[in-house]
Amino acid sequence: MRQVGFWKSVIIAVCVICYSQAVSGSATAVPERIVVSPSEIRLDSKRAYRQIVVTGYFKGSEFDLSSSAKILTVDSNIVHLKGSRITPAGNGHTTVKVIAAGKTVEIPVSVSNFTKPDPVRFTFEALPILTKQGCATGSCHGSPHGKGGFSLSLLGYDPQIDRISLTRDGLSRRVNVMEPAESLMMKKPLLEIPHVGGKRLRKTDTGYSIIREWIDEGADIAIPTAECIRITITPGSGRVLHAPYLCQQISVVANYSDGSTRDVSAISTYESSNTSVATVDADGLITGHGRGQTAISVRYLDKLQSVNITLVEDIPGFVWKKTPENNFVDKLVDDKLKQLQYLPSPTCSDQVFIRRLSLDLTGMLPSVALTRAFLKDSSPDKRENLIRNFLNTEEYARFWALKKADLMRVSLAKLKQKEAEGFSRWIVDAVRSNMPYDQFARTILTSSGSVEKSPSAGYFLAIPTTEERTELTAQVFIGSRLECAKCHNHPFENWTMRDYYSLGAVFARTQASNGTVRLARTGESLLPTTKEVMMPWGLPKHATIESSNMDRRSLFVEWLTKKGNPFFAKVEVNRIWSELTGRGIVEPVDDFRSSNPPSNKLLLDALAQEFERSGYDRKQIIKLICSSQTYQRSTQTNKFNESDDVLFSHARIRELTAEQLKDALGLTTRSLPSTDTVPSRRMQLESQLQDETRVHETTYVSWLNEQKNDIHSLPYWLGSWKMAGPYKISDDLNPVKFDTEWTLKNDIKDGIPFELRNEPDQVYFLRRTIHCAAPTEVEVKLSSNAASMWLNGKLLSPKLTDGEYRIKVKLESGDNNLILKSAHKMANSNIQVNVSVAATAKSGSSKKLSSTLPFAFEILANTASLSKDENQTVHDYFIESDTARKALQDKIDGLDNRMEYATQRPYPEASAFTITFGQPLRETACTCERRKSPTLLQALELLNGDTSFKMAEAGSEYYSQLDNKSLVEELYLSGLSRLPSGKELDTSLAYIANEPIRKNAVTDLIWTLMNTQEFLFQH
Amino acid sequence: MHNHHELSRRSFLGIGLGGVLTALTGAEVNASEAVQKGTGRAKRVLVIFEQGGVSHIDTWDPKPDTPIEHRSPFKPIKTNADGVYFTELLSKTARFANKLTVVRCMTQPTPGVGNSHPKGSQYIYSGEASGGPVDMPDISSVVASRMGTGALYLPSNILVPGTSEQAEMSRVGFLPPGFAVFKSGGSPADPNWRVPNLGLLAGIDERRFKDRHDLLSSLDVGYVNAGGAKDVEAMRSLMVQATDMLTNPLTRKAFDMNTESASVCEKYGTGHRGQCYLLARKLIESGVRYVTVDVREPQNSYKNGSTMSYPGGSNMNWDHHDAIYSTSHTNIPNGGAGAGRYGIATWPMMGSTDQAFAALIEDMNDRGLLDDTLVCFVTEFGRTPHINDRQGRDHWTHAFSFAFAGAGVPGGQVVGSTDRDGGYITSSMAYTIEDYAATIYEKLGIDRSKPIYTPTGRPIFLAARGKPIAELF
Repeated sequence: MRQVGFWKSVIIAVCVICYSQAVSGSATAVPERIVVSPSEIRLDSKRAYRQIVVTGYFKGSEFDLSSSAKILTVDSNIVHLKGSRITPAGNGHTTVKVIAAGKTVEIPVSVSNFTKPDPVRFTFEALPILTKQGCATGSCHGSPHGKGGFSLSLLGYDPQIDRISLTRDGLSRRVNVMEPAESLMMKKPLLEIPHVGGKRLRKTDTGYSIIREWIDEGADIAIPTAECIRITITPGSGRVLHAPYLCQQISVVANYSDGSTRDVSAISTYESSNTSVATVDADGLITGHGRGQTAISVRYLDKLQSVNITLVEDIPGFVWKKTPENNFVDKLVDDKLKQLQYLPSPTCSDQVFIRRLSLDLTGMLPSVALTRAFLKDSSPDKRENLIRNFLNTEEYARFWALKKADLMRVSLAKLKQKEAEGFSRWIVDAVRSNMPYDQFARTILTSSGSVEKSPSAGYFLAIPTTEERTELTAQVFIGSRLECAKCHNHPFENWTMRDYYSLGAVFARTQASNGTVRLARTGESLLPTTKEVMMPWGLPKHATIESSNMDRRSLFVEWLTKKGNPFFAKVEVNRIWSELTGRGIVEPVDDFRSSNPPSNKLLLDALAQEFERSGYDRKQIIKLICSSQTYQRSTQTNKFNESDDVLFSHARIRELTAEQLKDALGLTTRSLPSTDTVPSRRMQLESQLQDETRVHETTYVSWLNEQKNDIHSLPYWLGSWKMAGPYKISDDLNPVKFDTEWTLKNDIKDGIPFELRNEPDQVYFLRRTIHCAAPTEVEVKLSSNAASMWLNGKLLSPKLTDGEYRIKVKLESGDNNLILKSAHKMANSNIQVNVSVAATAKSGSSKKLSSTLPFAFEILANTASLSKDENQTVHDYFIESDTARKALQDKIDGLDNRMEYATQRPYPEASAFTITFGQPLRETACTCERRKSPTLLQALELLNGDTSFKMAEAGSEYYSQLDNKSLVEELYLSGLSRLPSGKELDTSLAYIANEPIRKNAVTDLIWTLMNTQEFLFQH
Repeated sequence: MHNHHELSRRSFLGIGLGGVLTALTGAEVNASEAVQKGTGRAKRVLVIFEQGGVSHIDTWDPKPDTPIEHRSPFKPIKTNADGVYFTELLSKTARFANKLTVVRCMTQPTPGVGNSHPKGSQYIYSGEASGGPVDMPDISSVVASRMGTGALYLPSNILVPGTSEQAEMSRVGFLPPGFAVFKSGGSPADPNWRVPNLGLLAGIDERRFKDRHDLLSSLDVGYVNAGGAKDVEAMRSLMVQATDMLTNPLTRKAFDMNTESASVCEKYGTGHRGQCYLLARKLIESGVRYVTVDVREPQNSYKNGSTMSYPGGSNMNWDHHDAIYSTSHTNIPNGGAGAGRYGIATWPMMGSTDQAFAALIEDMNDRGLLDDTLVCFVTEFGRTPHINDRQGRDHWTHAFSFAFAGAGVPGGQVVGSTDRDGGYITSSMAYTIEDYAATIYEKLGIDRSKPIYTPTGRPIFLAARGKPIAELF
């Protein structure tokens, strides 16, 4: 901070004068050469102009001389000067002389069409002014409801809206072509009449003359056929400003689709991403303020481009000291630190390293035994070994899968439990086997079929709408927040509505319901403003929409995972980097855009290249980063890096995540057994399960007889549904005499609608038995969109019922046969059926015939002696119905899913505790859903919450068994991965000695350790 | 959604009355000047949200001329304000009408919200209908984020009592979770009631907590040279604040019902509703910025500290689709969605409400709290002027009533009017939920021209489509 303050005073004095006077104090600063851009100027209209940029080259460095250069016109009848802008004065050819730092360059200039009229073009000139003056921003008239009844499209994305708004709405008073000065468009921003937005325009602004001329000329609102295809900024990205030379002029040229070009420097909008490093004025002149990096974004219409500027200055007393470089990561990080003069922190201790690495790679604290062994180990490559060992643990696979599952919304709110578990398990398997990341993306994004067979289909099941898929896919794999572009062009980036809806087109034919993902043959994505059918993203150039009749998703994935894709590799290595260091090289990690530059571009590029080279090997990147000196730095800062927060000169102190904290509390207090115990606990449960099964087995025969008796005494029962089909509708099918193989469909429940997926002209049959001890009158309710129903061979409903039918019928005693036939002529439509049977009041029983008999019992009811298969079914049912056995099985499943470990489970615990500590409920794709900053509720929970209270009490049970010194040491090793200092040990021992009830003292000590910063944070 | 001035302006223009346009614009200026005068009068806000849709024609907006088959059986009565009438269900509140402004021209024209209590409730909480590009946080959370707390040892935004009912309706949205509403929980009418997490846990007395804290102070060395670790600093100061909340006697006092005399408790009513209203007053008095009471009598409630119950009652809110004039529960044969309530005139409904609200206004006035506290009595919508075939009244969004007091709200005033049956607004002005939200922000002096930002940088204006209710300023 001191350095910044010092330079501020110097810089404020310098920046106004920029080069000329700064140089006069320094005799050595004579450039080798100067370069003027452009080298030749053609002005083809009386309103054209050209911004020139003058660069001096000094021993490998470049300085901007634009504002200090002397520019002389040779013929003032042809050109005039407006600052460093060349403007026309008459037709002809001439030159201008640019003199800077004693060197002269001549630039030929030709002016044509000077006397021809060139009216202001609404779209290309007037609209950018509304953006430039701030009128069309989201906080003013560009907000969805406008301001003060005047509404503009956000940053001019839709000229159609703006032309009406300007010239027709507001009683047409906004633009007054008869008395231009009376236009509200002039009077309001000039503050000639009250304007809530304040003064936005001065008569000296370029914008004033453009808007005024436009109105004078009749406010033409024709929308041109040409469009702006590109803007070119001079100088390009990467310019380094060296204090005290802190200014940089930029020029902007627009290229239009009709082949024309024009300098738009005066009407473009400029913004700096980091104003403490540099600001930029309305004319595109950048002024540096302090060391660091910033992106200057330049907007003209819907084109947005950024130039990265680095500002370097000498820090008094700074001397670079070489630190170990373990791999290329360190070289690139150190290069940047050296350039910007930050001194890195030294390597962290072994104690800090094992805790940091364990939390990062496994989500959990290292065990006491592992910590002791690691600290004792004296081999030089012990850190490498530890990294490798952690990467091979099951804990690593689960914890790193959790990070992906967070983004892909694996939660019970979106998925059924089986789906969530299946998808989650698939991700864990992928992480464990280190599936190449391109394959991971491809498998997920092109998954089809049922979630049982391809669990990655859970991706689409969790996000059923095209919008969600567009936004999630963009955020996860392209690292971009595209959702803004759903309703308007993205305000900070080049993303347009066209991008949004063409990514939407990729998923427009992917349908997900009932646990299955299918591809439809139709379905398009339309641009809402024009209803234009969008071409799917990834379709090769010049392809037609017809050629996209294959799986559009695979074309997209091909584009995405191709080496050199501008996003894919970078986004993933940046996420990994962020997980390991607490900050992305691009931050936030899902906000890649040119106006949000990486803090170390070369580092990001090199990591991405390495990722591509390794075949998208995520473990390889993790290993690379963890092995680096950069990762292994201490969090302790020195006076030369305490102000650095983005260049990785020291490690970051990070609050444990909700899951890490929950498990850390559990492990430290021993209320959660170590994951090492999972296999032995599982074996124990398995043997209990076997015992239980054996004991249960002995009751089979008596159970069987009991059930038989019970069933035969029932007044009636309903059998399970069985299904046959599909058949072609043209087949001669008689549902009454129909004889075929029936498949059991016992997932169909009474009164709950179910769906049959139908191809056109397909037929399904469903059948069930209703058994009555005596004749009973029942009401059968059928609601469907295409089904018919027979009872005991008699048609009950009209053919292909569409709607709801209630039919009263008499059931005979004995078995009744209910058959349902469904058929649909439409493609891709689901048949929905809902049947229920209830005894009518007349039948003397008001009971619903709701209890469908389990299929096993149906067998018992129908068959005197069981076949082998039937016996198997009944026996299976008998085994399944053992609740004690079921409880054991659930425990085993819970252990397999590691449900007790917050960092390891397949879907979020979502307890009050974890939510308080910021666990995301997986409702959005944004990593920002995980709350990272501490809150008051967290403090209350830690100091006084039920969870921490109970955990401390539980911990006391364990630690009280140890002698005082051992327990303090064990506690420190468990929670902080280090032994207590002498003072800490003394304080703790004294506390235990002074407290009359030893167990309470131990509880207090545990509670205290849990509340120290060192425990709550990773460092 | 446009306010009445603009609507009038358009319609007048249509028939070419330019002169009237000027006159109206003049009025608009005056109104906004008036708003400016009253801006910032409130330091705190107390919202009584009676959920389910209170029948306006049975309470604030009597309609004695409605044909007999649809007329409310409750007669209009005089209040202590000249020319202001309520129905007899508000006989206690009528004695304080000179402190109230009743707005009878509330309307809620947003499609889709009218039939949904969750959406309607969220509308009341946030001041904006759900379903936009960004869901608005609660007004109370926005206020907490913009104004901070008035008492460091207490949360700045409290919901009394706060049940699972409000899990989805009350939301902090994109604001940091620290501004989420704090729920007092349980029932302050229960003599054993304690606030969760704000009292020390059983088993940890103050001495032990102090011992622990001393130990923590000596063992927690924190981080040295932790340049730029903002979270470390934040956690440290939050721990200090949390410790203060846990140990400051004033925190407990703010929630301690025993500090209130028996006569005060009885004045509010010793049931669940009365004690919730009383707790709200205590919290306002302790300096809490924003208190919302969202209460209904539970089936098992309290009277004078003992348990009692309402047979047949389940979800006893104001959703009187069935048997609205029942003298007990509304569970009628062939009934509809209105089962489980109690008739509007019964004690758990208007009886306790009238008693508690009258006591609240009197008590707050006596304590000088009405000077700078805005009190709002609100509901999602009104009920149909016609009685349905189950003797109930259904949802009605075209016209309903809110009541306001304090922070410069004029007393004895009625704003707006409805037709003979209470169905449609007849006054030139009509106010929306957005206007209600704008009124709160304006009363608190919050600058609505300054947006708040979502994490993605989208600017959000407060009550963007609302204008403050000018007559309240």
